[in-house]
Amino acid sequence: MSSEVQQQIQQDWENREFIEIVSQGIKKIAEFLNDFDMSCRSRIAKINEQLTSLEQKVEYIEGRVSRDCLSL
Amino acid sequence: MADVDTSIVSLIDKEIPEGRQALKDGHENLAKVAAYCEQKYLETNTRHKSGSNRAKALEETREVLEETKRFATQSLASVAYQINALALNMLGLLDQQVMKLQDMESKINHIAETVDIHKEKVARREIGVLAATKPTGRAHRIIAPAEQEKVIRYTRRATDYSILDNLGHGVKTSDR
Amino acid sequence: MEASLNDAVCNVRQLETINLPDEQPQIEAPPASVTYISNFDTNFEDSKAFITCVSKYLEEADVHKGLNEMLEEGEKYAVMLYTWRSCSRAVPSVKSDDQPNRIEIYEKTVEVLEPEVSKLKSFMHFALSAVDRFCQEVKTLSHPERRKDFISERYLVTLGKFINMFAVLDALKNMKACLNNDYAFFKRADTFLRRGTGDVSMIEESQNLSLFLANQNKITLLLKEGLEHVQGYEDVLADVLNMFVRLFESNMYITPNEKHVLLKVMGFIIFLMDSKDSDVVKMDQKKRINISKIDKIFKQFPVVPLFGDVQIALVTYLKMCPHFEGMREKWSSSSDAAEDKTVVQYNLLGKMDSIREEHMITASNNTRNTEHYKELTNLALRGLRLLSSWTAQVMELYSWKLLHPTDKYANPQCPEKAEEYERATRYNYNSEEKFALVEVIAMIKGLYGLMSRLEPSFSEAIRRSIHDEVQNFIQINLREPLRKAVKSKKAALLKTILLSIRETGGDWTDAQHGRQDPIMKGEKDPNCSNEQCVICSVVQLYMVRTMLESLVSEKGGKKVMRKELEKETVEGIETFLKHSFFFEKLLRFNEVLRDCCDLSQLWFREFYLELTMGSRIQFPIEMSMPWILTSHILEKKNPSMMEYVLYPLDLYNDSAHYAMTVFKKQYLYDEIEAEVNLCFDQFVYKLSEQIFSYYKAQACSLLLDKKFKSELVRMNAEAAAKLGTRSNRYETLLKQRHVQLLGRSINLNKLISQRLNNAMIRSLDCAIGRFESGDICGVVDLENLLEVNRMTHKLLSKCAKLVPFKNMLGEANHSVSAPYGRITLHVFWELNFDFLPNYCYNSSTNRFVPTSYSLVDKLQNSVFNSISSLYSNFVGDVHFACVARLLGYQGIAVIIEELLKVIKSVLQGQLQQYIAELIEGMPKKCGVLEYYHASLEPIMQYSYLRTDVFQGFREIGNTILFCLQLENFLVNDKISVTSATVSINGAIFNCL
Repeated sequence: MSSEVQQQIQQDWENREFIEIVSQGIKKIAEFLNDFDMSCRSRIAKINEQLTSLEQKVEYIEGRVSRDCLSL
Repeated sequence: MADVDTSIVSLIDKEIPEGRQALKDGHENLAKVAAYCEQKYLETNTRHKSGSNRAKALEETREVLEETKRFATQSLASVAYQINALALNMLGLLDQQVMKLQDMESKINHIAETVDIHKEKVARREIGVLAATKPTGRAHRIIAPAEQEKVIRYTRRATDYSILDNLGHGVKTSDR
Repeated sequence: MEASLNDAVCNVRQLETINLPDEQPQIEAPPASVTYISNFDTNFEDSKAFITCVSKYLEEADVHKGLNEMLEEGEKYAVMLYTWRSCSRAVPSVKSDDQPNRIEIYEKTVEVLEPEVSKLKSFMHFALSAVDRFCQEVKTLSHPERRKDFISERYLVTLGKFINMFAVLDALKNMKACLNNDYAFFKRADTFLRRGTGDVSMIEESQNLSLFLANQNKITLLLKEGLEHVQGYEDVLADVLNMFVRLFESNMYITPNEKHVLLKVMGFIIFLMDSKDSDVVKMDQKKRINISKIDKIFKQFPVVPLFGDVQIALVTYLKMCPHFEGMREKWSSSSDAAEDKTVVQYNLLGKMDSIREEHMITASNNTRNTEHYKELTNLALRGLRLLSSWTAQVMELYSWKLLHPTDKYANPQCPEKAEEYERATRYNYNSEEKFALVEVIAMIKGLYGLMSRLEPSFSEAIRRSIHDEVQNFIQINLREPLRKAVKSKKAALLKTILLSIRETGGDWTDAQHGRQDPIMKGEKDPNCSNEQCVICSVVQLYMVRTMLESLVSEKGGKKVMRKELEKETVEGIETFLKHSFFFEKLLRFNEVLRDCCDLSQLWFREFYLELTMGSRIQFPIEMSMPWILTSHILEKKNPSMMEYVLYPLDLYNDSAHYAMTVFKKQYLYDEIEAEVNLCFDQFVYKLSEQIFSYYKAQACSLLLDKKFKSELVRMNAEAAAKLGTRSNRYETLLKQRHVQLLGRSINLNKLISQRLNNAMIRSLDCAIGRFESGDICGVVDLENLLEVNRMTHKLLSKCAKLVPFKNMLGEANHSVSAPYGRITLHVFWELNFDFLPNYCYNSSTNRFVPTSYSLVDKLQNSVFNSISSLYSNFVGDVHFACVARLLGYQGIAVIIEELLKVIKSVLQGQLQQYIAELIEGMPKKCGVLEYYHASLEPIMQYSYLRTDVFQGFREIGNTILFCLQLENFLVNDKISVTSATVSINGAIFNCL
């Protein structure tokens, strides 16, 4: 009987090891998502910054060109 | 330039939404699968308690456990894969957009330059109207010297140490 | 397709190959948009499975399960009490008896307060049942028979936690007077509506509840009564006390919370033990407890945080003891002299820095050997210990300060009528303390970030090393004693225990099952533990440790097993026990790490809100600690602190997280959110203001040449001080593109760049405005200011993307769509109305000097005034150069056109007739001088001559000279321009 119990305990070790590995995997995915989030945010911020500066430039040019007649 | 546009459009319209949708479906399926496994395990467990033959029941519960394990591995692999694909797509999209922005910027700078040049020309013309043409010499300001000085060849002369003798001595009366 | 486990793992590992650049310098707490915390503690649910373990400890496991559940419930009630906001103050009360709608009001009151009161009722029942359960536990343990046997460490710790729970619940109940008011309010409304129709038990219960709520320290009294019935309870309490003292001294705790629990329980036990018949002093003489040791501890930590912003001076427990008078002299810590707790000695800051570097050095190099795991685990443990010691120190300082608010004598700045909370937080810290606090907080969060980054390798190392340690211990160290036990027939009990330890905790490769192990026959053989990266579950750990404890404990009645074991095995077991104390905590490394640096309580102030008896719904931001620290950094502009400015803001994240996850109160979260909105606006405003003025000053000092500055320094120190700005570090702040605040991600760089843009345009605008207010000589000053702005813009664009300077100047000068800017218009205006009529030309100095003297007083004493004063009151070539440069061809063209028109108008308008007449009046032929003099005399007297004719001539003259000067300047400027272009591409010939 005790060998069966022993076997169950041993089985419990394996199960827990399996759970540990899966949970490790999930943790790595979570960590990857965090890093991905940070990196994308900073890249998007840079793109956004470039976009706004382009918009301003275009506005400025429009302002300069929009005078009544283009005196050539 | 065109291919950049098409790839961006395709990324935005097709790949990324698909990836997201796949993850969303995965999300629901996983919940369902988890519920199913739990329920099945409980079921076999209760049968195991009531049932007479312990070994068979034990076998069943173990079998359910194995199945749950397989599901877990399967889901972990698929989720990881999907996230990987989606991430690559997103990063690709970002790179494309950076490229697109760069060449837009160069276009705009070009336009800005032309406007400035035009403005400057107008201003100069305006001032030109007022100014009379002063006969500035046509000659180029920076002109190369007419004749080239010929390079003198190096001739060796022995150093004569006494050459500086009469320079700056204290009392000099005789040959002044 | 069927993915195997290692497929899944390699998929996950594949994720790590994607490179994710993020060059934002890390000066805020680690961002955690996705947090994954796995907790496999089953709270003894699976204890029945381990039937191999000694049955006695199995039952104990069940007891622990029940007690743990009760402790959790206690925690919920503590949260309920702490976050209770009085409802009765908000409910309209019935003024007079014959008020028409009083019935309706009462109904509404009952309806509103019903759920709240039911919570109070369940709290009372819980308190009573908890006291009974505790007394029952103590009774079973103090049973004479049971006294002989040893009590496991886990049992004592759980009992200690129970005592702490009682102390916390009672203190919170005392503090919250509004509980009683709410209930009284409800009872009045309820009895009025029921008119006594309620059944007896109902009335009796409500009677108990009001009694329970009304008098102070009710729970403690109940507890004391219950314990006094138990015979010999003080011995059990003495065991708990000694255990806690031992734990504290060998600092067997990790999180600050545990440390404070140890302290609180010590104080509370002494109070509990000191009852009518048993006296603490007698206990001390019988060596059951050691007062001097406890006294030393209390002196070291006089004030301990109890819950949230509620704190307790340990001495109050002593003073509550009935026999306190008798033993006053024994407790030196209670004397008032001990009160002045030294300001937290931050001299250990230096040491901390070195420790911090050490962490950085030991980045996880991945040599996978057991010795390396051991070292990493110790490192993790030391990191946790360090973090918790810093956090504990911060919280202890904070609670000490809360208990000792300052007043207008101690701190001159503290106003007369400052509120209680203000005196405890706002005026209670001097500058060094604030800076020290910020630095420690930054260190805590920085180290937390480092460790959470290393967390995967830490937790893996922890698992492997603990697994090895446990298995080696069970499979090797215990072989010898087991072999001897098997041989010597009489040690039967020892053998069974050793066997059960092996079976419960052992992790055997298949061949080596416990039973067939050759050891049964008593021979020696090699060990073989299989290499796994998982550790025994919490239950296994508990059972193995408890059984080992039973082996080595002195108290074991007749069958003390300690003597049967050899000396070194006993020592081996004891060291193992000492190590394994932390195993359970290290299993949950992630959670423990978070608890170790939990600074969320710095914001909560329910205790002080309660003190204001409703006059304050919430305190203004100037009184809340996170904002005090942040604004302190911003005001003092201390360069070394500037980069820490995001850390105090992060305190809001902690508090908000705590409010959501532990307190689970929406209104607390909303209050924090409201405060963060307010604070963040101010933060960005002040920061951008500061950055702009800093860079402008830098530009200023760059442009002024050296000797001028030294000259200025000699003249007056004040201007020099403004010049010599201290270098400050804003670049890192400006690089922040995703700051985590309350779950939102904020692009600090974008916000500040917007404000910098506006500030730049404003400063350009005011420079032009200044010029417009002055005369033409101000053009030099204008150019200098524009130059400073240009330099500021250059410096700023290194770290923030601003609108190009040219565009800004255009906008400020309104010359974007309009052909001529404000500068051109003003120059023309000045020319027309001031320069031409009033200035006269001095050919030798080639300058125009104003004839009518106009005093312009310089309000600002800025540096540039001293420069521009050199150039005022005359118009020289410098001015022409500036005018030419500022106006550019367009401007000059239009001005000259206008001037030509002016001359024409002056000529045709005014002068023409005069000149005509004068010509007739002039003598036709010219001769000797005095003849001229005579004939011209009458013309000279002609009065208008001076005012109109000469003035007209002067204006024409000035205009012509002005154009001449301008043209000279333009010519040589143009030459330099065209020759440059000629030399570049030779094509453009001189078009003018």
